[in-house]
Amino acid sequence: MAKKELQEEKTLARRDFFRKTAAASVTALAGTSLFANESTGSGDPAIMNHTAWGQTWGDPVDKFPYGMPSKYEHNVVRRATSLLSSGNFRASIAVTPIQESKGIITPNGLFFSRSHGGVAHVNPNEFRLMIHGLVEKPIVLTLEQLKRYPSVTRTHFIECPANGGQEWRGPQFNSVQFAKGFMASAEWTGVYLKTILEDLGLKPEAQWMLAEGSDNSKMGRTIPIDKVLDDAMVVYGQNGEALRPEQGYPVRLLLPGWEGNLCVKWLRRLEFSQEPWYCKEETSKYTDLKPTGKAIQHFYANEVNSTVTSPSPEIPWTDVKAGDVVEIEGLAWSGMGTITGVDLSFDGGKNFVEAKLKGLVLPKSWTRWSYMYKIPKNFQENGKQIILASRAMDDAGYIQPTIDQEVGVMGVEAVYHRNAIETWEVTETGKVNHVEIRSI
Amino acid sequence: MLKFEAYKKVIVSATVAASVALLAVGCVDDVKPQNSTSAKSTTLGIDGGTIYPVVNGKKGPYLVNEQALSHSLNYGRVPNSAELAAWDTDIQPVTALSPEGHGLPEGEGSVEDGGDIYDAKCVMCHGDFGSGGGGYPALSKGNAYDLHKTLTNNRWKDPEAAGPVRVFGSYWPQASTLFAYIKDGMPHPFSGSLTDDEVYALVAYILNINEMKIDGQEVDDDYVLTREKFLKIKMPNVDGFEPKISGKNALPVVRAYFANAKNFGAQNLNQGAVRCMHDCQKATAKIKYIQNGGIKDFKPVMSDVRDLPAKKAEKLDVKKTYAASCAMCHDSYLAPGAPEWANYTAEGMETVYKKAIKGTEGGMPAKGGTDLSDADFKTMADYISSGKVK
Amino acid sequence: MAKMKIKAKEKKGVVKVKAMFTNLMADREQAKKTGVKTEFIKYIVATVNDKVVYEVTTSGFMSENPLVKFKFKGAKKGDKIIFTTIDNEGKKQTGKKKIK
Repeated sequence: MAKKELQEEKTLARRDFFRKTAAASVTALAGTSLFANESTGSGDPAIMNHTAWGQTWGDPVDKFPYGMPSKYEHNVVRRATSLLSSGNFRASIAVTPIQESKGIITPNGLFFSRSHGGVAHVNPNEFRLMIHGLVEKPIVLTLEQLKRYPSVTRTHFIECPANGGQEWRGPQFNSVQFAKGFMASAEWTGVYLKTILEDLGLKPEAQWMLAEGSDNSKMGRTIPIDKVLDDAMVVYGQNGEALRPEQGYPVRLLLPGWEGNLCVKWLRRLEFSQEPWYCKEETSKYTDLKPTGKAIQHFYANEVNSTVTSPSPEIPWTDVKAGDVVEIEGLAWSGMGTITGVDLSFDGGKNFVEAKLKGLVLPKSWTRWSYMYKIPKNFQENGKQIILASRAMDDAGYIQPTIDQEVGVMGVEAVYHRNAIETWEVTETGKVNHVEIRSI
Repeated sequence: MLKFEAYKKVIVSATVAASVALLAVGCVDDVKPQNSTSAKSTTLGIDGGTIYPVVNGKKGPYLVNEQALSHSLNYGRVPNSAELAAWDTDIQPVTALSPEGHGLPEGEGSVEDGGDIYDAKCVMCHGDFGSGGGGYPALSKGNAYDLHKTLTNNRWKDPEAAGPVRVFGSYWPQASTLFAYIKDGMPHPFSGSLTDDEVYALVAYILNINEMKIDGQEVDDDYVLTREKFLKIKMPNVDGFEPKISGKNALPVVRAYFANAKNFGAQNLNQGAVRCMHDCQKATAKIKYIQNGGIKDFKPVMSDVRDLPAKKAEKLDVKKTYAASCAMCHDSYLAPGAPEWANYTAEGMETVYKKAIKGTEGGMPAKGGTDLSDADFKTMADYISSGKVK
Repeated sequence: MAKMKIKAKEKKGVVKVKAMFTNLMADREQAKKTGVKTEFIKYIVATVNDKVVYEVTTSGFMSENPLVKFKFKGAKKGDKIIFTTIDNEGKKQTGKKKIK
């Protein structure tokens, strides 16, 4: 009985599938575009002709001991701009092409690169990590000794808190790479700081930790002990290989979900103290000035955020037409927890529907989401151009604010930690423009 | 380890208190979303976000090998006092728990010396009198006490209006930050090259151009800054930051600050925010477009085309390159094929290449000032020395 | 009002001077465009021992907080260099500095 039912179900499923494909091919036959070339007798040259690569030897396997992307992918690269080019592109940033990102991992060569005095090239044999201050036993570790500690591997994004920070007063970049690409994501391998501290013994009066880099800007940041004893790591592995120089080779600090700037690169020293340090990058910069004249300092976590990556100014809908069903896809992330949902709007945030999360949903990680959408005529809904807006939520209860909500508290001079809802307008021709919906 | 346990307790009790206070009303209006964010009893960290304690061998979704914490590992070694002294050079300001500050070295420097060092080592990036330029930060925009009042300026509506001035004098809360950064990080091509006295002089100069006072006394052109005087600097914006991070109670204060979403412009569904699904927008909301084309000078230029990279520079045109890049000097000295070349080619072409690529004391710039590849450059050297195009 | 910033240094008989003046340097058109008040320096003069060592007529073409640099001979360490500026409303400002 049960077996028979199962069989019937199978048949049904198969029949459904065939019916669907039959219907699809009828539509296809009815259309003319697919067979437009038939009358001339020529076919698609990509099918009809022998390909250059199919007629001769390929490369020997030992040609590239370290492999490179296809040469056809040369436009998928990090980019910089003169607005953010201090120090001849050394105290500067090059941002990740998130429009081309797939899944929740960024290849190491495309991971955004931010430094305050240029990318340092540390000799791993001369690497030392000193841990001292309010500990029972100060230590100094070589790279080999650090790697001897039991390791952990975690997938986290790292985001510059100035991601989107150029657009507090209005949109400036017609590009998702520049509007939202001050971030990237990787699988990191390293050691929990608490594992090392178990051996050193933290003194009870310790409240803060200084993390210091060995580069020429001697990047320093103060970190509260709460994070040190929760999930702070010193990492040496990135997506299965050593950290890239741009990410602090051989060792950087990783504070999951927190400002990229706090994840000090080219790390050399950790010191524990009762009072904080007031380093340059936690006073003069990386502080959020409010309209009250007071600035938020120690603004640790990157808040819940999301963006539509397809379509986007770089991946427009100029090749789709009314009636086509397309997948709208995007990224959601939160440094304050795990993404629990993403809502999508087609009218710039008046009304929302629920999008679907896809793939692995991990804490303080990029999370993929999508929505299947039938393209309306002229890209208009109710007589108005589509304005796509995504809004993410996390398990700490945070939901992305509207621009009015965020600006209402933070003003427009804060620079950092802007996570208001992002909007793309789709024009009649399917081009996609970055716009903002705001009354302030 | 006992002390370690004590810490864990402190943190947990603080966060539990926060999350109890925050359990709040539901928020969804007219739809019931599948992945509803009904208020969960999450444990909040110091940042106001979720923390995932290890429960049943898992930290969030990750399996944890708990054996890692049950062994004494003792790797590395204790640094000696010379090593500690070499690296432990950070500087902390005078604070509640640290009336003397920490790490500020002895030394002194005058405004006058500072001005000279500034003009020799800093002015090329930071501009005359610290006025900034070329993407490098300004160090002064005038009187620190006056400019401090601009911090409430906010360009809400008019992007051309005057914004807040955030330079050392008007914004930075502590002068120790300036001393530490100059000593450790400046100037970027020669970090760590300045003596303590030079740093005192530069700090004195920067206080001077910000028109600041120490203990009521103006830092005028004849001022000499010492360690003792430095410790008395009170920055105009010392109280301009929240939450407070100094003192014994600092961590609970920070935890409480980030437990309240309103403090930092966030919306939290557990704190009264609403997940609106329909009719969510004020009538006044308008579309704001990018003005004047926006920022487009991307490097490399934006493209999503999948083709072969543009061909590198055309094949070298020897005569054209000579006319464009070499003739202005070589037509009158060591012209192509000139007999004097024999004096140089006698040493072998490799030597000629090497000298020309590096540049010579005789005035030949490296590679003649061109950006030719080594191979192309050698072809040019062959031509000029022999007078013949190979 | 921020003070004039002046630096004057004598070396081998030559005095090198640079000075910066706090001023918006906005002529009427610019002021209207950016919503600031019309304000620009129209005349700058520097004297040492009552002798004019530098003199220039300016207008809104100079950028905000203009800077001047020049060298002259004929003064010694300890002499005072006095700058006077006159703005569009005829307001005078002076600043002095000992030559070092």
